[in-house]
Amino acid sequence: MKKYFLFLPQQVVTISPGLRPLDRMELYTDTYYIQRIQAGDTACFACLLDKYSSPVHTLIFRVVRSREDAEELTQDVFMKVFKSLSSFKGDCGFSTWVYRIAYNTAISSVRKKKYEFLAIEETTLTNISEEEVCEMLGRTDTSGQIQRLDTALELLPPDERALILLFYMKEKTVEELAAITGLTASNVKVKLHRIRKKLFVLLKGMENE
Amino acid sequence: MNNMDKDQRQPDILENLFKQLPEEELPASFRANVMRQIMQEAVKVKKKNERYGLIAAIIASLAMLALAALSFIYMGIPKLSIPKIDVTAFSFYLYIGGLTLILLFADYKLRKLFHKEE
Repeated sequence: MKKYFLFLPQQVVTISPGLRPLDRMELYTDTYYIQRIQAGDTACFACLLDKYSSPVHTLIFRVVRSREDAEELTQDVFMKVFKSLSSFKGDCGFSTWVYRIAYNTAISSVRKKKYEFLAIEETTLTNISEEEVCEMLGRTDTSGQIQRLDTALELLPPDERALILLFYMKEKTVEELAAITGLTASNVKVKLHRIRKKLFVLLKGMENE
Repeated sequence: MNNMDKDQRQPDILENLFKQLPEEELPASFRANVMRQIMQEAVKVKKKNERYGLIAAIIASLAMLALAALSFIYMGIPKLSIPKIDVTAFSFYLYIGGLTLILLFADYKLRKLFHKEE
């Protein structure tokens, strides 16, 4: 059978002539790689791995807070992605689907370990404003601000940490977050609002220390 | 709450801070390790599919044989009469059969020897 060879970063992918013109136009997209993998070209998975391994690992590391666990869990996530690739129907974006697996894997892992987290009273949450925090952070240099944010994130429960990271760091929409976490869109909005307030309280608290 | 919607999101202090959070580096061997596991998994899945295919073929064959047997027994299709075996000729058949088996065995051994020398 006649085959065409296409050189992609770090690997060679063979394209069978049976592909429709539309498929060829979708080169380098997630859909294209998924089609190739489902057709038996397992090496194409390396492209998806290159694209998503670092962001998935960052998210997991920030949720579980252990480098070794994060690496192992990231491996588990990609094994799960490969095994259940046939069940991906495309009703949400591939990245959303990958993040859903990563979120569930990371949350299940930390639930087993039963960490203790800081509880903040409702009245404290309502008494803080964004302006106060902006003003306070304005008095600190960038590295200091990041350091404070990192410390504040550590004090949040893992599910809240994951949600806020997905929203700000991975720039996921409320609808995508709902698909990832399994919550309703309005529930996600409420949770995000409360997490922001919690972060403001924690960041403000660091100034007083 | 409006700033929670992506379309209407205005840059806030947290957004700027989160964007500056560094990405975590994975060890250099991570890609190779995962791909090795993926390849092993792919082989496992292929073997499993082959096994399922073989089982399906065996079940289909058995079902067809059962159907054929049923048609023989209940419907009498085709009309056959089993001839009585001539016991006196049995030793002759045994001799011919044995000779054939010996020849087949010798052929198998010689072929094996010939291919080994090649």
